[in-house]
Amino acid sequence: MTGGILCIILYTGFVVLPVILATFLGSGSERFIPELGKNFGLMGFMILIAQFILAARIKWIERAFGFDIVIRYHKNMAVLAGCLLLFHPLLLAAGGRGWQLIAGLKMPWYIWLGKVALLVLLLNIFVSSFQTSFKLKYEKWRLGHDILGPLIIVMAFTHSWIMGDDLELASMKTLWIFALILAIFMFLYHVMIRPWRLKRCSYRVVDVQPETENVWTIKMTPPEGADIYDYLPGQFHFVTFYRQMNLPVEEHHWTISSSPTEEDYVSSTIKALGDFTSTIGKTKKGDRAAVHGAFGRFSHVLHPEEKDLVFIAGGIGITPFMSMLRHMRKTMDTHSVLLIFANKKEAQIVFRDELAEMEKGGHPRLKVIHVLSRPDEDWKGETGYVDREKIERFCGADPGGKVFYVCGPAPMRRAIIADLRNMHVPDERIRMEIFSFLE
Amino acid sequence: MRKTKLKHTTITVTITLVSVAVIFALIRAFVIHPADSFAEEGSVLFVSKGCSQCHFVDSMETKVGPGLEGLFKQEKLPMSGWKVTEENVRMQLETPFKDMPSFADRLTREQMTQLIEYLKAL
Repeated sequence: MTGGILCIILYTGFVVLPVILATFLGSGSERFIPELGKNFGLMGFMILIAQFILAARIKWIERAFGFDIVIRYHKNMAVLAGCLLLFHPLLLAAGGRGWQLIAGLKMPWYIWLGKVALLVLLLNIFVSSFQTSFKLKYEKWRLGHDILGPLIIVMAFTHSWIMGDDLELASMKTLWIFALILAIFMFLYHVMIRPWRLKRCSYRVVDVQPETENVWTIKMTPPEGADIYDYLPGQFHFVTFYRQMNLPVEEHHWTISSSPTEEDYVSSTIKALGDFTSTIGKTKKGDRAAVHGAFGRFSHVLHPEEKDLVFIAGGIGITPFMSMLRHMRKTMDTHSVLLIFANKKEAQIVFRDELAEMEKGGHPRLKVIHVLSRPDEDWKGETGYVDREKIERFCGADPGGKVFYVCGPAPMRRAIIADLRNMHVPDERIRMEIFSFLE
Repeated sequence: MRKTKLKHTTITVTITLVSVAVIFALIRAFVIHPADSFAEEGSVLFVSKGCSQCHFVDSMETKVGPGLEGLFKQEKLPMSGWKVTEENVRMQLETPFKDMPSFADRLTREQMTQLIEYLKAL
C-alpha cells in the first residue's frame, strides 16, 4: 500500500503545483473570491491532464490499486474537475469580473473557447456517468471519449494560455507546456503506440473450445521465442482479435481462465453477451490476437495467509475462480475452498466436469455447490438465488476466518455483498472486482 | 473492501485539493498582496498607464475626460450613465465610450482590480 500512498501524494502534488507557483511567484493578486476562482481553474486543468495518465493503463499505478479502482478514480476525478471548472467562471464573475462573463454574448473568442471547453467537458462527464442509461455501446462511447478528451484539453490549454494572468510567469508557461505534452503523449501512447506494438508481437489463437451453448474458451500462444506475459491467477487482460475481414476489430477485456503455470498458452473463457462477443465463436485457429495484460488484484495469491476461502460465482463470473483453482491444483495447494456457483439452468454450468474432478483431487480441498435459479424439474440440487440464508447454511452463521470472493453480474454481486455485510463479515474479508467499466 | 477505500481516497483528495485552493487564495489575497495595497498599486497604475493625462482625481471638473473625485459616491458613471458598480467600471475600462482608449489589453485583471480599488478610495 506504500506504493498507493506515494501515488496519491504525487497526484495531489501534481494538481496543486500551479497554485503554489502562482501564489508565491505571481506578480499581482486580486481579492479572495477571484483568487479562489483562478485556483479552481488551475487545479481543474491539472486534474484533466492527470486523467490521461490514469486512463493509460500505467502498470505501476495499476499494481498499487487494481485497474478497476484506477478507472473509477478517473471517473470520480472527472466529476471533481467538472465542479471546479464550473465554479471557476462563477467565482470570477462574482469576484468582480461581472456576470456578463457568464451571460454576455459579446466577448473575445478565447473566453468563448473556455465556455465551449467547459460545456463539452460537462457533456462528456454526463454521458460517461450515465452511458448505461443511454444504452450507449461501449465502442461508440469510447470513440467519443477518445475524441472529446484531447479536444477539451487543447481548448482549455488555449483559453488559459491567453486569458490566464498567472500564465505570464515563465515557470507557469513551462509547466503548462509540459502538462500538455504529457497528456498528448499519454493519449497517443494509449490509443496508437501501444496497440501498434502489441499488434506487431501478436499472439496466435491455437484452440477455440466450445464450453456450453454460448461460451467458448480461446487459447492463445505468444509469438515464437517470446514468453507469455507474467500474470496472477484471477487477473484479466485486454485482447484485440484480428480475424476474418467481416468480423469486428475491437479491444475488449476478459478474465484469464488459464493458470499461470501453463507455459504454452493463456486462455480466456468468453460468453456471447453483446454485439462483439456474439461473434466470438467465429474465431478460428491461426487468428491473431493483440494481448495486453495482466491487470487486476482479484487473486488469492496476493493474500497467501488466507487459507479458508469462499468463492461465489455467477454465470461466466466463474472464470477468475477457474484460473485460481487450476493454479491451486497445479501447485498442490492445500487451501480450503467452498465454491458457490449460481447459474440459471443446468446446461449453462461452465466447467462442470472439471470442477467435479477437482473436488475429488484434494488440491485444493474444494467443495462445489451449484445453485440454479430456473432449474429443470429433474434438478436435485439447490435452487433459487444465492442469498444470506444459503450463505449461512453453507458456511455457518458465523463466517469466522473465511474470506469471500464474489464475481458475477452486478445485481447479484451487490445483493451478495449486502448480505455479507448484514452477516457482519468485515469489508477486509470481502473481495470483488468490477469487471465492467460501464458500472 | 477496495471500493470503500476508493470512496475514502476520493473524499480525502477532494477535501485536500479544495482546502489547498482556499488556503492559497487566502494567502495570496491577504498575506502576499493584501487588499489595502491594491489602492496604492492602483495609484501608480493611474499614472503609469496614462489615466492621469485625461482625468483629475481631486476634482469633478473635466480635463479631457470627466474628473473622478468621489466616483464611487456618485449614483451614475459620468459618460455612460450606468450605475456605479465595480462591474460597470470594469466594463467601461474594457469597452469605453467616445475617445477613451480600451484598457482590455493594457491592464491585466489584477491591475484592473487595483485600479478600481484606487478609484473607490477617491
